[in-house]
Amino acid sequence: MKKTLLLLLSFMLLYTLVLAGCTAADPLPNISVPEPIDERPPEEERREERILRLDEQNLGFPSVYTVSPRGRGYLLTSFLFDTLTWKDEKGIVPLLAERWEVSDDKKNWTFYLVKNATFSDGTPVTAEDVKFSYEYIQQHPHPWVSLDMVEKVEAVGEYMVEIKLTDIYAPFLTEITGNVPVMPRHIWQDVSDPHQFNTPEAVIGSGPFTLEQYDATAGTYVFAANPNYFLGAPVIDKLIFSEVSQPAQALANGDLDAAQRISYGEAMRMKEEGRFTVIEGPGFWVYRMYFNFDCPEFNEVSVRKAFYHAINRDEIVVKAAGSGAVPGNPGHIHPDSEWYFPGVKDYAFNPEKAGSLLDEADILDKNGDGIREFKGSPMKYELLVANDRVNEAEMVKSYLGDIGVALEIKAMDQQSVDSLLKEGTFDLALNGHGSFGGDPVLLARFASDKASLGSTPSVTAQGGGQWVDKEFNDLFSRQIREIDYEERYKQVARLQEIIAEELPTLTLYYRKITFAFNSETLNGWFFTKDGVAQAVPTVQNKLVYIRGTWGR
Amino acid sequence: MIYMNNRKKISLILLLIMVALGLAYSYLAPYNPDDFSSPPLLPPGGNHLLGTNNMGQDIFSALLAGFRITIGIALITSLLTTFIGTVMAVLSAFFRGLVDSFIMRLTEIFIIVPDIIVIMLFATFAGPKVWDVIVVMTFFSWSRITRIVRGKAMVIISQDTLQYTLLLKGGLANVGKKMWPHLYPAVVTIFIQQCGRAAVYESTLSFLGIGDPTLKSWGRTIKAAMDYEGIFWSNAYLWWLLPPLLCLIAFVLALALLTFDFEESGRPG
Amino acid sequence: MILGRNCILLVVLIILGFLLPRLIPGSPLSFSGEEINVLNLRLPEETFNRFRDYYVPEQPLVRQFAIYMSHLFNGDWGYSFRYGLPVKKIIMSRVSLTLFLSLTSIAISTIIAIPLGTFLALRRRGRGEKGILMLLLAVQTIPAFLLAIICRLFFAYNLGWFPAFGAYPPGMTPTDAGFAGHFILHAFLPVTVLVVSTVPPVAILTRNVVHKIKREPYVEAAYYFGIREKTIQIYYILLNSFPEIMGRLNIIFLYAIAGALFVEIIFSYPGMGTLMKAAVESRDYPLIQGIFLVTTIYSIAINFVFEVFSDKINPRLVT
Repeated sequence: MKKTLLLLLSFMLLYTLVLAGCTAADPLPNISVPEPIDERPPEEERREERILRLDEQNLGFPSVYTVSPRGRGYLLTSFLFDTLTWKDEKGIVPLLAERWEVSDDKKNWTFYLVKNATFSDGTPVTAEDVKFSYEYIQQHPHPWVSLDMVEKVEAVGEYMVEIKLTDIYAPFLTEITGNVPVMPRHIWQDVSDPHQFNTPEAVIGSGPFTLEQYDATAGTYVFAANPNYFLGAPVIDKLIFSEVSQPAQALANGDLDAAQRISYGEAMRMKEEGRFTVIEGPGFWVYRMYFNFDCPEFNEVSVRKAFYHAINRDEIVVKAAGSGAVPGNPGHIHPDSEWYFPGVKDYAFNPEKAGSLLDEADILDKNGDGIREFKGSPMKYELLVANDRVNEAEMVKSYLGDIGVALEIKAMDQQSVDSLLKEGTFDLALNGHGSFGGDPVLLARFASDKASLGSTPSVTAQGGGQWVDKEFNDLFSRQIREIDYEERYKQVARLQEIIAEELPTLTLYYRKITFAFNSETLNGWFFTKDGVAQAVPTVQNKLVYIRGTWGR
Repeated sequence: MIYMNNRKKISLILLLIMVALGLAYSYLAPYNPDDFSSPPLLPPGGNHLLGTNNMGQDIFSALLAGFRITIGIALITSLLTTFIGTVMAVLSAFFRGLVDSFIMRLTEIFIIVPDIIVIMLFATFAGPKVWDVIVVMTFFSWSRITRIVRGKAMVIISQDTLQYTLLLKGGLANVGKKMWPHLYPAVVTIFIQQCGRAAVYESTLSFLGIGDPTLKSWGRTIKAAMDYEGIFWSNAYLWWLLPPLLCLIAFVLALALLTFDFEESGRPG
Repeated sequence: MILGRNCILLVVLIILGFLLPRLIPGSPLSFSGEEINVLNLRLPEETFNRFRDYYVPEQPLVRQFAIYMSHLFNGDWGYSFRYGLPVKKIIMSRVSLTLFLSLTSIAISTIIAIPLGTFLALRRRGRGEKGILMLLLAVQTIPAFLLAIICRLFFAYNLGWFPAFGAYPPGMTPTDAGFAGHFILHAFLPVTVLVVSTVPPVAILTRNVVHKIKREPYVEAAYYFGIREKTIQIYYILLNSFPEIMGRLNIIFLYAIAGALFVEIIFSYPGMGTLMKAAVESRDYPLIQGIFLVTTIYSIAINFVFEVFSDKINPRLVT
């Protein structure tokens, strides 16, 4: 009996120890940044604290290098760090640079900084900080911006910066100055390993918010308004992002004030119910089919055309994407983009046409097993797809099955799909990605001539053999240096014609983007032209928190 | 044969019907469960007994496919697991000494490492083929069986008849043959229990998105229903989510009832 | 003896922890040189270098193992790619939440299940007892993830009684007023689901064991000699069924971390389960390895504790 008691006692002891470890020690690695000094003007009438709660993924510590390399991670840092230029719903707007000039050869840019911007530790933002930030990013490669075309950055005066480019770069203001965060030199100059830099100093920037707390365990971010922000203090006092598995439900339950990661169906239902305001914007997110050009048959343009004719894009949008998408355009560019050219060749759903295209190319089913043969070997392929988009793959498998091409679906996690695509270890693949709207520099992903200027985030790259088209390459490197919009549009339109004619990829659909919010809290949400920063399709533009209004 | 009361008879009949449905699936299913040509989200009635899903696929056909796939995976996994587990146990009991302690330490490792963590790891890395999942599940389940069967085998091998066989320098095969009649009731019970466990495992992995995504197992149908955001907005859950759920529970419950003894002290788990 | 065996187990598992990421096909440790690209986005050079410094994939295996062991002894578990924090720090902050969930639910389940099982075994005659047993069996067959989903749906979404996600309201810190209340409220549903899924197996086992011992000759003899019923129940039956029940509890304790996995994932509870899911999804190798190590070390510790106790209680059980 005693032994039993002893046993029970020991268990209780063990248990209380664990509990004590949980609560007393509080080992949660809360990186709390002590608020410097509460400088909120006391004369302002005392109002209730305005807290806005949103859903977001856990994207790491929101300093420049420690945050996730995805677009949404970059946007978190944009609340803390400003750039020279920024974008709103209409286009480029000044931010830290109040105005700028460019030389006649379009290679020398001069930026005049605002004089009232300070970092959250009180030091003013100067030209030295800008120069330092560009040089720092050149020395410590950043996953989001590449500064290959920047030759030299000079601080001419205290508030004047000159940036010299190696060559003309048309999307300079959107892709470069709108993305390079300005970091305080006096803090970062001693940082040799920015990937480990996660102290409270690492989040000192000039942005509209300061980081009050980041709970790495729960994936919660608490941003506090920066009352001294040079564009004026934000309309909210606190901005809380937390990881939520079902944002739509959480919004309905009052656990959130706004929900970003909701499906199209959920958004439409909320719109119907009318409890929340739902806005819909162009989703600069494309879902497309990749060909591996190491397979000789995919180098036959007739095969690619036949595939496109065989796939019913409208049906995929309705059944697999739940109507939350726009059918793809053969020219690849989103129809809502200012660079979209409507006059490209179209490929209507037509299985007979697809079949006859293959017949004409002498790709026939000679042994009668229902599968066509290309130069003697049956057209059987693996279709790589991320495991949350198997419905799309099932439909494509059935469409191509109807024209005598057998597919086997290979579903893997998104990361593996990306890496297999990149290594070129696939036959056919379906994949989607953002970083798609905005400047036609995105077409760089089809340019095989890598010497040409410009880069797209590497998540969209494809490995293995490349589709090569000399006219496309030449035209691409020409348009990236073309400053005149009309002239550049003509060249970009021709690029789209080439894509539609040659089909290096089959564009299947563009996902729509939705956002639901409680209009009793923050209002004034908008969709940024061509997506925030480098075409991140979201409403998370920091200007909303400055320009918005509170309550009805 | 094991004594059967009414409850067990009912369970057995139910299971046999389920297996029969699985075998006859291709004759019974009105549609190919992959065929998405019907309009999406039809309510039950007319050509579709249980309506269609958001892709326009016939739910009734998917449910029938589940009888073949879920039960098939459960049977194959259980068969493999029971076989390996029993062989290891018999080896352990026959050779004793070093072999025994080696096998026992091995099972300890497998029991100590949380199987679901390793299964998640392997299944995500190894690839989504159904055979991969079966192999992984087998690999991390045999040790429990070895531990149970070894205890029984140890008792049996010390019985007189087997001791004679051993004295006559009977080999492993002979001893195994002699042991089988004694082991058989326990092994059958374990096999049946393992079936239930495999079915639950399969549906859990499917729900987590591990395994072949195009396979129409009950777990997949449940996941597809839960993934559809509007499942509870209308009555769709009644004919899309509930049928595979009830089939899965009925299957596992029937297995449990078949081996569970109210009067005797059966030992499930 | 027990200590020695557990030490050997520990060594074997540490070796396994070393081999596992190198055996799994598709692991970056088997890739060559520049092509290692774990996050599959352009991995910043520093992160890549840190990965290479830590794992030294180009060195011979023996050397890799030596480096791995020295890291372990120095308490350096590497640096998580996904979170940009030391693995040890992340895991330590999470493991206590998971243990809190599982140990609370195991404690509650044991308090419910053992008396329930004993009750069912000692007086099982009427239909009521059979009904309870059937119910337990039925509940046992429902996969835990389904229970969690159903609970979340009704109690969190439809009725709104309990929060549906997290361990505490976002942005709250333990020093805030009312934290404990929120903490308990958030843990309520996950613990309930765990209890509901743990009670049936323990209760059924207890019932079977007690029932078996009740039929043992010495118990029947005790009844025959007219020893007081209470005395028989406690000293003859219950105490003797203890070792077997302990065996079962041992298993349940072993799986305390893994058992809470699905429940955590469904309730977005920031414990080891959600961490595991995140690590696997983003192929965060140092983190995966760390989780594997922590769970095995925990399991061995539990195993050791149980073996020592069962040795003390019933020395003849040790073979």
